[in-house]
Amino acid sequence: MISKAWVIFILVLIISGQFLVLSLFHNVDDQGVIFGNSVIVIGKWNYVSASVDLLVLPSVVNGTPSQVDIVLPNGTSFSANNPSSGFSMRIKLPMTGFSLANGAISGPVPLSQDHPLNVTIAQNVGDATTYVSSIMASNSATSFQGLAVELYPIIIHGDAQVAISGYGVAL
Amino acid sequence: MSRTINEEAAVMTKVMELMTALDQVKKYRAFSRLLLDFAAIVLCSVVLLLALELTVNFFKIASGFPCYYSTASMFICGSVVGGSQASPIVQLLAGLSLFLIPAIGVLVGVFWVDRKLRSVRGGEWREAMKEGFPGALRLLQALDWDSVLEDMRISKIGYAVYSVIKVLGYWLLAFIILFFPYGFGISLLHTGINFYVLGLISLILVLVLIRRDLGRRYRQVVSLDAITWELRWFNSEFKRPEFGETGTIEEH
Amino acid sequence: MNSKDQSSERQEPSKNTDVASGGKHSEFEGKKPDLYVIARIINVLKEKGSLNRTALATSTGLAYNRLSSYLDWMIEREFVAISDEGGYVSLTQAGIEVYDDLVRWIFRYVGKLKFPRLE
Repeated sequence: MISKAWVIFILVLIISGQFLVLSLFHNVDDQGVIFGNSVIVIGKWNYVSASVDLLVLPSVVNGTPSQVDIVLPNGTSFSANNPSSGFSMRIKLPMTGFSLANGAISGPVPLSQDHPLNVTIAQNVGDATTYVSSIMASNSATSFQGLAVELYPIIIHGDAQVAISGYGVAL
Repeated sequence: MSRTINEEAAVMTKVMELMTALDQVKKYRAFSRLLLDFAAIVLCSVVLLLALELTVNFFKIASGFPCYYSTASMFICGSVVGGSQASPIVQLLAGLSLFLIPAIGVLVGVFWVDRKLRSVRGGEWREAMKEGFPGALRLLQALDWDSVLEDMRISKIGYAVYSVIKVLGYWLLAFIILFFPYGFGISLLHTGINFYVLGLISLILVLVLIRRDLGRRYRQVVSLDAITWELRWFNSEFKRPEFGETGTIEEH
Repeated sequence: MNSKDQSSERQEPSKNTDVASGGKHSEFEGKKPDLYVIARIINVLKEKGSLNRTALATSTGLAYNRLSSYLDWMIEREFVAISDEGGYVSLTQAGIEVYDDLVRWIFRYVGKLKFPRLE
């Protein structure tokens, strides 16, 4: 019969393992009111597998709901003008690489080993295409020992409330 | 002759005091052993909580969960993006489970320890005391002194550990209770919550509120120490050659 | 049990006042008789006076043959005496004194113990 002290030791080991696995999970969320041309940027390391939920609710201005257009990273576009249901979707961002290296970047979408998944909402950026190009250019550093940054910009034209939440697991 | 009768009565009184103290030590010893049970039960509740959290995390990554918009805590859900929604009660329970599950673990642990302690009985020696002085002698002869001294040593440790656990438990409870009024009060001043300050305030409050209990427990540990020394001395005297091993009672 | 008895012990080996050393009888040879049993027998005789062996065995809760072994040992040391008529066992002065010595010995050490109250 295993002694009680060993039982406690095993439980502590299990808890330590659970905390280790839990530490692989990361979540981010952000929300805000946007107007004009806005860009939501999702950034992650290539070793992260993530699932991101996006909700866009058009604002009501002078009793009239705004017309909101959403352009996804792959170029697909959607429209929304219903303030109660709006536009929502789940975006799956798979792991595309594996790396033992660690790194950190600053800028609009900072990433690090502790925060391998991040989102940012930039409202009223003016020319959205130019803004996206500048972000992609600033983060287009070549990969280091297999470690690379992946950015997914979502362009939104119009006035709306946005909420974005993401869950990722870093392996 | 009357002097001997007085001495007989005094021996019996002392032996009764000794056996009563040893009964109490027996409970403390059982309690020390049960602390391991308590720790195991609480740890099991923590394992369960973490397993639930991991399961929900995996669900969120793989196929979503009835919470589409959540705040920092994965258990608390906000507005819904289409699909299903967990009922408010489920959401509330899920949010509280971070505290509920370990709290239930602690309660189960306390209940278990209490139930086991109630089954620890003492006083079997009272039957022997009915025989008078010979019964008292028999009790003294039958004592396993090494075991008694070991029990006392472990009882002291267990008692001290229990006091520390009690302070930590009350501290955590005070921290949780004070969090909301503190947070509300701080928000009126438009400043941020300082957890170190809150932790310090709750610790000091707990120490002030249970100072009498802590004092009592400290005195208990000192008493146990004193009894241990008395018994160690008595044990060595009881085993001295002229008293037991050669079987001769000699006065020097 | 005191120096006086030790000197008499040298002259009369049969008056061995060792409470618990082995005697002639093989029952206790190399072993100590139980002080508790001796004290119990003496205590019963003090309370009830002379008793026959059967009554003594019943009062002390001892098996008859075990009681007989102890009585033989105690007779050897003149702690008890057996009457010729009826075989009644009675306590001798030496028996009373050894009991008193035992009580005093225990009291000398137990009496010094101090126990603070535990809650």
